[in-house]
Amino acid sequence: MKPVKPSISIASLLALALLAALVAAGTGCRTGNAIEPTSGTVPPAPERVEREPGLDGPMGGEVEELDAEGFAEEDLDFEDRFAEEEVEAEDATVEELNEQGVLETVYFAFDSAELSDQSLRTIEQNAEWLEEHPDYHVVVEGHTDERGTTEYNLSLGARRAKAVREHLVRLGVDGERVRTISYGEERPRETGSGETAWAANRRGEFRLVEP
Amino acid sequence: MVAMRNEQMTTTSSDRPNRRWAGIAAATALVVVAAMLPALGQTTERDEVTGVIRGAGASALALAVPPTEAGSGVRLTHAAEIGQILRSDLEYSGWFGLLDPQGEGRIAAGQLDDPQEWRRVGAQYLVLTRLSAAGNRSRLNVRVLETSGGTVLMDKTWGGSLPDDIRRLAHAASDAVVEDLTGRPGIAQTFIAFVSRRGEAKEVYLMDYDGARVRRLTSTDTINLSPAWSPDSSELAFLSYKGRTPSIYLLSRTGEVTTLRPRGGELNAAPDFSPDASKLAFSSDRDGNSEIYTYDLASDRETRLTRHAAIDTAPVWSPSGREIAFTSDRSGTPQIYIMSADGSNVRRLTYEGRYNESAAWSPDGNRIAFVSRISGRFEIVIHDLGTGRETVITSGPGNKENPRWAPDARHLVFSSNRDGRYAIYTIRDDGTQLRRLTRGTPSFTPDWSPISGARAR
Repeated sequence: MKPVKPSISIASLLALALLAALVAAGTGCRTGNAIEPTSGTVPPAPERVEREPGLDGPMGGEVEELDAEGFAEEDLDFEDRFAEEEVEAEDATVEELNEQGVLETVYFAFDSAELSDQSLRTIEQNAEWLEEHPDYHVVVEGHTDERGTTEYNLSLGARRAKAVREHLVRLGVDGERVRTISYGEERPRETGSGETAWAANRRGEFRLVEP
Repeated sequence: MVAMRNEQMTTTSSDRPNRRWAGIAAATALVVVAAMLPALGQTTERDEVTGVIRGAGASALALAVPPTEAGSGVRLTHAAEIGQILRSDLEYSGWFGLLDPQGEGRIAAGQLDDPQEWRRVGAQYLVLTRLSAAGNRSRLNVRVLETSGGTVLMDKTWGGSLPDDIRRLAHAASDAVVEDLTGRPGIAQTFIAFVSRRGEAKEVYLMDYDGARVRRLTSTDTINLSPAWSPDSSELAFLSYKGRTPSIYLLSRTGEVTTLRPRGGELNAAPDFSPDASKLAFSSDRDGNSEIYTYDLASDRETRLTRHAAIDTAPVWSPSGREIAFTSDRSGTPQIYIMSADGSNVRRLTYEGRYNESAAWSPDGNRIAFVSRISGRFEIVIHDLGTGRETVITSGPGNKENPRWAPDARHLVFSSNRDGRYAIYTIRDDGTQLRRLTRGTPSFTPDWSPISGARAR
């Protein structure tokens, strides 16, 4: 399974780089000829991406052709990938998206539901993803570490989940799309005792669900 | 074992008002289990008890329980087992010091039923048991005699089929002996409900008060927590993740499950029955953050009790039903508070330490047990409402959590990982008699059944 988010950004990068290469190459790239495959050697893509088009100056016809050719191939490739992505995104079940971790987890200090700067940034990213994917709803799960007793930790987990939800809503995510659930100390991510496990377990997780 | 919590509590235990410590009965050179007995003002209809305390100065009742006699047609192993369970029950009740069953060899085998002989070796009371066959059924006869004079104080017989009813017969006998000699009900026929891991889930389980006969009550394949007995022990309220949001359910003895449909909120938790069984107190986040509510079972009405931006949860009723203790972090850290049952008159109970939670009100109304974080570990503390004194009753490795009182107000049950994985333990309110009840699968959130239901069963 290809992670959706990374391949989008790689694809965009490639597209940008190739467009830049095109601009540098200047002419003729949109012609039918340019995308005819030839038997010429195609330089590896990374080289082209790294090249500063402006510095390369005017290029000879041959190079231009190669570039154009390269573009053509990459373009196909890009299109293919894009198409693949679309298919994937449509087919990916919420479970798969959750497994991929498209929405990142936030962490809390002991006995606290305060959102750290890091958490605020993470929630912003998650809010953006949710804005871009209006078809999904999300359940924010509040979790605590094992210390303290069951009932208090349930309430603490609820408070954490609500703090996250509030911030999502503040950032413009429709409140109807976000519900919360507290698991208290019942679903630790790390078993065992000690600050490492505890820190990993004091968290707010984002679980995508169908509306 | 027992640690005092504040300055005024550095007095020795024998100076504590209303209570006195029992020691070893040195005069008799017999090992008598140390036990705490209520003294003059506080007890009981029966003169024997107070009389013993006054006279002996050391004071658990010295009890002789010779081996159970097996009538014809009765398996010796059954008789032996009943005798063993009865001894264990009586010992655990905390009222008695049990003498060696054979009188430490100072009583001839044929004279173990002779009160005079037992008096000679220091016993105050003699419990004679006899198991006999009656067709398919068996009968357990129990007599309690005063060793001075040989007066028969109790003579009762129970019937059952063996081996299935071995434990129940012994427990019934123990409770009768306790009640006869102390005027207080025994707890040997009570139960403990708890949750235990099962795969990814936690299911509700039930066991006898001594950890025997464990049976599973739910099969939901999800998380269930915090079972709480109804006052007649006919029902258990508990939290389940079975539905879309974690919510409160009622499970009856007959296996019926009732869903208490939440009026909103994404967490409705921590149920506790009022002593008259008419209401449940619980916590809900429906009004923005965790607050305490009551639910009236007859009228289906809910009432909000707390209004505070802090977490308010884990409500428990006082035995009178007039007050509710709960956990709140309104001071910045979790502490125990008490309020009137209508939500008025809120006052803070605990000040020592930064982390106090999970209150349990003793059935005699005089004390509140709770969990306190002490040197990084969670320990069980008892707060005396009369004196304000706090006593730490647990120690040693691991955390001790979720205390609940036994109906005798002398024992508590809690969960702890002191031996590695979380398990259910019971303990005397003075920190003695620690007993581990479960092994293996991790177990949590116990609640001790009331007495009434145990009898009805």
